Amino acid sequence: MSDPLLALLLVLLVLMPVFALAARSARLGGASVASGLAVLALSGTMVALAALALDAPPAMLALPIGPTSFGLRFLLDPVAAGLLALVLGCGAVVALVAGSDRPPARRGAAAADLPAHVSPLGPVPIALALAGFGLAAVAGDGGSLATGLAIGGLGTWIGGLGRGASGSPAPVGALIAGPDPAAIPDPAAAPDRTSAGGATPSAAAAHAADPDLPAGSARLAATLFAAAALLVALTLDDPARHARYLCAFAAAAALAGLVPTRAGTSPARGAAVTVLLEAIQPTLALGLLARLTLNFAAGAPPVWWALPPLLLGGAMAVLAGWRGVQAPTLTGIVTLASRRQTGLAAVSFGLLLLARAVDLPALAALATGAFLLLLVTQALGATLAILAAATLQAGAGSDRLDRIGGLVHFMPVTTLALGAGFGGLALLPPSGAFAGVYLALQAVLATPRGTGLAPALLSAFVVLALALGIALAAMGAVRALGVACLGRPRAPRTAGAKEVAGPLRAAWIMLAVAVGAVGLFPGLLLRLADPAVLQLAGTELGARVGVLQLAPATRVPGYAPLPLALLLAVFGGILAWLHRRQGGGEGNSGPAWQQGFSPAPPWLPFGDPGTQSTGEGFVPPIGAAALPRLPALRWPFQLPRRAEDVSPRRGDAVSLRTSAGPAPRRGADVSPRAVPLLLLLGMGVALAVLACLGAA
Amino acid sequence: MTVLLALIAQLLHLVLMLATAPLLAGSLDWLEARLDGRAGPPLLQPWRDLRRLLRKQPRWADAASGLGRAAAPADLALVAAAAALVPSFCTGMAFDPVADLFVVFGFLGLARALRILAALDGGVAGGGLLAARRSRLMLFATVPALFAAFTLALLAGTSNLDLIVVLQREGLLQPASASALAAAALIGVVLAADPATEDPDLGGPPLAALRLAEALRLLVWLDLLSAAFLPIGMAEAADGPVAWAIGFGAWAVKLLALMAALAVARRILGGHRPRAAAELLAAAGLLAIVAAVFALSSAVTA
Repeated sequence: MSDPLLALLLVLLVLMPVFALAARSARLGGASVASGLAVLALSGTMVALAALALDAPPAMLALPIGPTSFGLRFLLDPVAAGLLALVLGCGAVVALVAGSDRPPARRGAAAADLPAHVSPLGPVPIALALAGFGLAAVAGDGGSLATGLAIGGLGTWIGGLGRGASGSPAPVGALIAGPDPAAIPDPAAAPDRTSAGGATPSAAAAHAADPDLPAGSARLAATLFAAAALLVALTLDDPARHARYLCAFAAAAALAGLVPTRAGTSPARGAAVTVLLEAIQPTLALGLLARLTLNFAAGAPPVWWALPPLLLGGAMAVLAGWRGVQAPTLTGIVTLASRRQTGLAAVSFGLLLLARAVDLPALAALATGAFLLLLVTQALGATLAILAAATLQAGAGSDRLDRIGGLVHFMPVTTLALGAGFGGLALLPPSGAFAGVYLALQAVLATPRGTGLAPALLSAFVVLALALGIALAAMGAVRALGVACLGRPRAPRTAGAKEVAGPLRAAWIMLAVAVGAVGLFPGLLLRLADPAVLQLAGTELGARVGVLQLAPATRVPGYAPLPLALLLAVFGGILAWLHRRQGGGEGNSGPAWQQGFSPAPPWLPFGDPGTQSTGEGFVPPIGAAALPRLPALRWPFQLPRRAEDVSPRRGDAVSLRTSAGPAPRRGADVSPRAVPLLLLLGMGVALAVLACLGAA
Repeated sequence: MTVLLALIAQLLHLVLMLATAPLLAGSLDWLEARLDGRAGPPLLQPWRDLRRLLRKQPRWADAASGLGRAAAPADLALVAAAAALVPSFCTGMAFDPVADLFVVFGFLGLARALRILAALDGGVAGGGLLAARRSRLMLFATVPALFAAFTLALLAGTSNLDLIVVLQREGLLQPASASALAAAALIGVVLAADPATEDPDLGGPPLAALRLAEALRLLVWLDLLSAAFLPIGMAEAADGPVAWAIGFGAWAVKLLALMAALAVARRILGGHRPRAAAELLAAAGLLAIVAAVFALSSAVTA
């Protein structure tokens, strides 16, 4: 890295809020301000990427700001450059989208004269947050880190502030930039007979009544706590490295939302702030944690340092993923998918620490590759998905799954953008996140065998988190796309949704191309990030990653996304050719078979919304799945319980049948459901015993 | 020459898989019917159904979208790609360097996700219920499938399917009990597979694509079981047509045996199979986790 590049980056970061404030004073139009801000952020991205590509030694710059003997120091190393590129790249899109249709402020108009959904501060909070997070990414000491985080937290807090109620509909940009919750149009207030006399609450009312709706102040407090904890971590002496690590981890957990909570899943703060909090801030938090932890360790970290990220990250991945599949709103699904990915990235970081602790450089390099790929795909995919979800909400007037549907017919481009965002977050091939999970699995495979039961159980826990993460990611994406975008509209308001144009489309395309490129060329990305891998893992990925494949070792087969994508394209092409050869007709469209339901009355032009899936039941309640009840087994001659003693339990067919039906028979009664379970369990136990005997 | 043979073997394998899949589905239906004491449909009935459906015009629900219309062929393409990567009668085929076990499961998972999307596209109640059921099965099936793949990869030291088959054939996947546990877990997954329920609002070629994909999916699972756990008689692509013929015979015998075992197991479960799927998958998941822990905690002997 070089000093001029660092200086240029700092200038660009400082220019962002200055430009936004100046533009606000000059009453410039929203699109102009947004474009200017996006250009500044993109310039910063390019400079950071250039710094990463040049692979120069780290550069330090001290700014004599503040009291005597106190200066802000900034350090541009490979990890910082990568983080900054990611933060500013996503930030550029947020800025571009947030100002897309913001009306220009009238000269001389007071803030109170602006429409209710328009934030009186315009793009200033976004610029402030981006500058703060950028400064934190290149921070070189505790003071600069805490300052950057405080500025960023302040920006997101201001951006999430709402104003008074209004019934005017919010344009897309305003909704993204931070509307008032009450400004979201109330679908129940529209002449909509599907709502059965207004019984269905509006999205805004539902969110306002949501007890989990986060207070912006709580997130600000978390950010300030993180800043303080990092300040303490960087101020403590070297001998207290355990305390330093714990402080840094606590700070990162607070910033990344690595706690099982539903807070933050509401769109009420606006998508720009949601992107800053759910896509950019977690990436920054984990990147900073990695950067600081390996500095604190000064060599090999203790083994136990790997446990918090492994356990907390794994638990977060499963819990957030599970709740994401159950979330009632599109925004909830997207934000929880982002948190699931954050959890998996934390798991990869735990693997990295474990590898460094036991001095396995190959494993460390693989884990670092997984960590970086998951962070990049999380930032890009979540940004795109959150913005697209907000745009769909603006178009449909609600983001509740039971209020919308069929949006692909009215907003096809935005639906594809949402699909691309979920493609970035999905852990299936050929997405970039799958490449990350693949490397994480290869890292677990590279752990030495035969080291005892505890390491084996830990590895199994990691694989379990990855497996559930893969399944939940796919189900969350399918549920969001299938229920919100496919099928029939549930209300006339949805059928009036209009597709976006202009800067929004450009933003979608930019991000979708980036997501696709990471999926098809993860090796190229890791080649670019090899200096960062070296900094974190102590060794490079080197020849293990190439343009065509990611491999666990040199000269062995691995994951080759481009050839596999070509294979899929060939099969798809052959099918398309066959279809055309068959006549290629569009086919016949007609009313769907309603499976015996009576036809919908004429005042329901889109059919009965009650006959369409609202996405419930895609996963069982997590408690029932984690602790399943044993099948109904009764020993011979045991008196059955009375029917009234059996309390029905949700999802338990056996109990329900027992309580609702006739009294159970007396005597032996082994449920047929138990047969396969018992057979397989018995076989497993027998095999395990044989295996133990063989091993002995 | 070796490259040419690998290419020819790959093409032959693909044609064989596509041709056998409907035949396997028909044979399974016939065998299950015979076990029930019925005459059963002709073995070639699935082929006839496919031809009949392909002659029809596609039929879509009013609410169907382009995304949903593309789901059926995309499902078939993904399952066909997975089928191309799983060796049947020989190893060393052209696609073997990219035939990763995790990728195969990834393709099958993505295909399953697309089927769920296709079920939701029509906007009818039946499709929604079908999607929810498939989704729950997918959640429970992913854990045993990934753990079984992980165990095999751990024992082999690589997740490349071709190398796993070769090492298994040479008896180098130790301890064998972990491998057996993983096999039992995969059997549980196959047994718990969603019975052939069809999307209520599809007809014509899209329905044919979905049926072919479903038959091919079953064949991929059985092929995976036979290749990864019973690689007896498999040829090398470079060995030429005579060795291929022997490999083909061995593959047919293994496939018949697995099909018979599957039919018997289905017969035993009978009408309880849909309800028992969650229990089966939970047991399979347990076995797969035990297999992985056992493999992780045992020392490398090979």
